[in-house]
Amino acid sequence: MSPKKKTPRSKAKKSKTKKAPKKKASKKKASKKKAPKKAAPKKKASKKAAPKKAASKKTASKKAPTKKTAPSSPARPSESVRRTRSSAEAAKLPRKRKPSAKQALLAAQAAESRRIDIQAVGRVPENYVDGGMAYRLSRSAHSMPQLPTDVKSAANPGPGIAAATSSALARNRKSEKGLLSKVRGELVSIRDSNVIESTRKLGRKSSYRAWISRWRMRNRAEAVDPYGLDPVYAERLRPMLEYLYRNYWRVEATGMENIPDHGGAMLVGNHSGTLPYDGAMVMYAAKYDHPAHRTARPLVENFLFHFPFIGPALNRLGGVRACQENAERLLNDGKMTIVFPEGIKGIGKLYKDRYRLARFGRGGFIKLALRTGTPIIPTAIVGAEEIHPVVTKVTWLTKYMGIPFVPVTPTFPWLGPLGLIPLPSRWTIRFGEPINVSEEFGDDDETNRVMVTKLAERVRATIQGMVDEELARRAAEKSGR
Amino acid sequence: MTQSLTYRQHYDPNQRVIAITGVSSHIGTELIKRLEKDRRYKKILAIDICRPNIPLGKTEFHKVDLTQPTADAAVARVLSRGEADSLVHLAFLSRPTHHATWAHELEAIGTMHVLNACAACHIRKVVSWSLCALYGPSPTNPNYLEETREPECVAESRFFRDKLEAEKLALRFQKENPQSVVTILRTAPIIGPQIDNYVTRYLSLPLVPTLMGYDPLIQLLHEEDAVGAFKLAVDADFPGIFNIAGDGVLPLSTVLSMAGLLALPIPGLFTNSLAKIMWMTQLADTPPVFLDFLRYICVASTTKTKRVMGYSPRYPIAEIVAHYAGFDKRPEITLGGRS
Repeated sequence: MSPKKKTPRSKAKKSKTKKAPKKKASKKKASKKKAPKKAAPKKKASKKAAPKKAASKKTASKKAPTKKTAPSSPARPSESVRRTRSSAEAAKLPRKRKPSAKQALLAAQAAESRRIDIQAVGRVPENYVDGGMAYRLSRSAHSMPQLPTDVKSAANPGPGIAAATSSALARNRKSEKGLLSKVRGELVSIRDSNVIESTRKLGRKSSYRAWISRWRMRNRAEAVDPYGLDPVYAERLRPMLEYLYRNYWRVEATGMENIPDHGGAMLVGNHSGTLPYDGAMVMYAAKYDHPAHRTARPLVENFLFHFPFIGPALNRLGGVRACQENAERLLNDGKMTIVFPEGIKGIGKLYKDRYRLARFGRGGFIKLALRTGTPIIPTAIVGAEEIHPVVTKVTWLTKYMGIPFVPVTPTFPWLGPLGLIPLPSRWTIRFGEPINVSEEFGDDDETNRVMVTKLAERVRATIQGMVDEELARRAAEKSGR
Repeated sequence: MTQSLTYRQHYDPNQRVIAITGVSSHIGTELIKRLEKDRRYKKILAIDICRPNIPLGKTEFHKVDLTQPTADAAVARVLSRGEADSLVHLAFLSRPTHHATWAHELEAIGTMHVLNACAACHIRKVVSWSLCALYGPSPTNPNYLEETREPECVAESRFFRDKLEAEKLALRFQKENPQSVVTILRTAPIIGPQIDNYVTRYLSLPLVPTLMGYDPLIQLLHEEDAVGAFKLAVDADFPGIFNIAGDGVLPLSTVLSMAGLLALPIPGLFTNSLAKIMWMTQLADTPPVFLDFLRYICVASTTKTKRVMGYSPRYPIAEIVAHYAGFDKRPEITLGGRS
């Protein structure tokens, strides 16, 4: 109880106790019987209301309006009468009484006691909290709302400080966002509770845990999809991707009609850029430029998927580790995948080799298409191969760093992290006609390696052709301009 | 031997006798509670070194130390006298110990003893406990590991090696006794308010260490669902290996956040040596091998279990975490920000 002595409000209470010592005694008894929940001046209100109201954030905010209306009940008896009556009633109030009249009475008294506070001490910070830490927190959290003038002057009773405070808080709470409002909500609930209860609450591990939980979950969803896509995280990063898509690379996506509205499909494209921006852009195009808003899952190269920081971020955005099991499961579930069969060979392409597609892996995607019967949609990405003009690759020592190579671009190692900013080339993504390998060839052809390689080469040639067409178109546009 | 052969012929599905080893584990105790309520079970033979801390109705407690050289004979005596038709083998350690030799005696050799006794008494069904963690966290793991995948990735850890050996012994038992039903339940990390294993120990640290830059998807299993799976496997016959896990996956960081825990990300350079030193000086509960669980994915597929066993876990992962953190008891705390 030591912190109470320091508080200005408790001084006021002392003065009050001189006036009505009988009341105080009765109050003490009552508070001892039950778990004390409210701040000292409001003890009476707590006596009846506490069991109903948990010390939760919501109820704390809800509680405010009832008080606002209560004191301004039509027939207000004179102060002295009111005090004597209420003190007598508080001492031995029958429980069967109607709650509305009782509440009005108690609230009026609470408001009155607060007015005495003001008279005695002057201005009380309305977000005053028992316990120093919480007060400091709220002070630093943001500037306090100014008290209405009518409350400051004791001559004008007004709606009472409690009501003013709660309305100011409610107004402020609306404008606040994020952690501050949450902490503030917690503080309000602490303010409305007893000192003992509040200190106990601060000492409880669970209350900290709840804060930590709320703060840490601000950018996280409580449920991710079976492959780790976090919708909240993806939504948070969407403006960044949108900026890259619309403004930075000015992506023009064509052939959207070739992407089916539902069912599995494999978007097979040419890979480039040192970081997999192309996958993100294709994903963005399918998600926001396609009428059906398809979520396409890029199959991410193993080393990138387990690269610190980048890997988990890619996973939260929708990336899935590239392996047959994952791809098959996704396609069987009717999901769409983005496949870059060139793999690391594509991602680390030198500038002089740009737009020349490397070997298409071992034809794993063809096997997948045959097994799951999904169409292959050839995708040509033009522009992405110029964002990081790799002059040469350094491979020594990289084994120990866990990466296949370190690219050397005109900017990269020289400008440090600034060199990692991709160049703002203009992009075109073109989705071609679907290739249904499983219609032409049966399931048995999966074991026919020669056939698989042949088909892979056919898809590669198709994409190469589309890339060449787009390049020619771009060149024509440039010269025309 | 002749006696045991005769009672197998008189197997009555409504008068079953179940033997359970390792009853003082959480799963063992809870399984006994459920079997006590079930009228199809006439008797339960509880085998352990200490009596389970619950009222025993139709349960008979038999004290057998599986690390003793003659444990197989002792178990066989209990099984044949009690005329058991099935055995649930739960005598495994739930967290690694520094007493590696003793752990090996209990888990690998103890399982051998139990299975020898089962073979001698012609036990109809053996249900054994194993872990999904045996698949091992690996950068080459697919998102969902099927039962067909070879669990050999964590052979360097003695904790897992003993469990793997026990599992192999059970599979060998199945091969040698084709008339018996052998069910191996591989459980995902079990957490709950009552359970004490290496996962709950990890989560109860004041600062939960994680690896900086890594955030694998993890899978959990509620303690009640784990018991439910064992009950299911005891009730009906499902030969083979089954993954038991709760629905859904979550990133490790999200799980820690939802539980309101403070994570301590440790940079990758020091983790292995730090973990090694802490394990050797007995400051840590887990050997450095467990660090890989914080780095790579190890999530099991429950497709087969749901299809074959009809298993449906009651608690999805978010509820498991809430229940573990004790948040679901207090309605004023809402988990999560704005999802």
